[in-house]
Amino acid sequence: MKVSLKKCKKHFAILWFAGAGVVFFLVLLQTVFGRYGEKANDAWSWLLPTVMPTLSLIVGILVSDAVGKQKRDKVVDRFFYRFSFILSLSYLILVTFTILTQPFSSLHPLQFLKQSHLWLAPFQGLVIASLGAFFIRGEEN
Amino acid sequence: MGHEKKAFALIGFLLVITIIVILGAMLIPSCSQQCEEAAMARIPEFPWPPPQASSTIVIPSQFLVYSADETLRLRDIDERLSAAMEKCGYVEKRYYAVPDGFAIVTRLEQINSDGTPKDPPERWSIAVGPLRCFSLREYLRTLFSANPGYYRIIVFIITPHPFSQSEAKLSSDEAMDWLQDGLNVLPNSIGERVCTNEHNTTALIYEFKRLDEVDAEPNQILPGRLTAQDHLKKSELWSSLER
Repeated sequence: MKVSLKKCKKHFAILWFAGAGVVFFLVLLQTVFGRYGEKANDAWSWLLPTVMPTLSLIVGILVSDAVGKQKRDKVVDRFFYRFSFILSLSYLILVTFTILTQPFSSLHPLQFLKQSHLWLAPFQGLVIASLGAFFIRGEEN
Repeated sequence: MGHEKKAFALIGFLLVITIIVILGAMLIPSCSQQCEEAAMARIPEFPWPPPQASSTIVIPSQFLVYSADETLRLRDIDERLSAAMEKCGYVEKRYYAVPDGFAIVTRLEQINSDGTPKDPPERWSIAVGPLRCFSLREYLRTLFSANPGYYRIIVFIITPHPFSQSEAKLSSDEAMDWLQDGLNVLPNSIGERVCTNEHNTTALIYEFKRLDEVDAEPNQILPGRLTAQDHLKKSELWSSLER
């Protein structure tokens, strides 16, 4: 079963911009209300590497598609599409969960964010690898 | 002649014994007085006048003096205060001397923003603990705003002398030192003193706030956010004393 790569890219773009938007808004509210005090820089230093590489990849591909001269739509295997989509969704849920569970941690919020790299970094590697492979590959219909 | 000598020697011996006994009787009270003074000198003194408190209240005398006829000693006041304090979890306390009375200092405890004590072990810890009981309001407050730690030390001062407070601001380190420097029990030299109608029991509340930062030190809140009566009610000391 094949699905249109163009459609998939749009789905990924919506998922990533919505997910990153939620996380961005949460950290923005925390910064405004003084959750991190004078160390808000550290919180943003945690957030940006967490979502920006993938967002940059998606934006880059979307822009390249928009200005490119590709006429024929490519297709991809539905399984790989679903696999990558679930991997991305799980990662964004985990990032949001990391922020939302701060109040239950005995660590200082910034220490907790720093510690979250332990479980987010490997996951992020998998997400970027799957998205990269997914967007680059694709068969002509 | 021999008998006379013996009689004089006996009389002389008796005289010497009498003088020794009289001198001894005169010296013993002054020795005990000296011992008492020495003991008093060893009792650490509470800073006088006390450092500026976040809030203050004079405890109604009927809370500690149950009958106007009874002859109370300062020890009785201590026993009644200690019983109320232990009932509310204040098992660690220290005694200091104040002019003609004494002061009891409780251990630094962490409290909620409404003045109720945190549950142990957070209550006796400096570290700001995580959210234990879930309530949506508390959760959102902790998630989005700084999670400051509030701390309190209660000092009861029993003295017949009216007093004001100095302008000195208390640091959390100084406050914590109070629990190390004071005595574990009320010394007899103070406890045996009669509690007169002029004796008052004053509760001084030293409240501290620590911002949600790892290295930040708790700073004294001046003036306090709550009244001293609110603090005593929230700690349940007021109801324990009220009986």
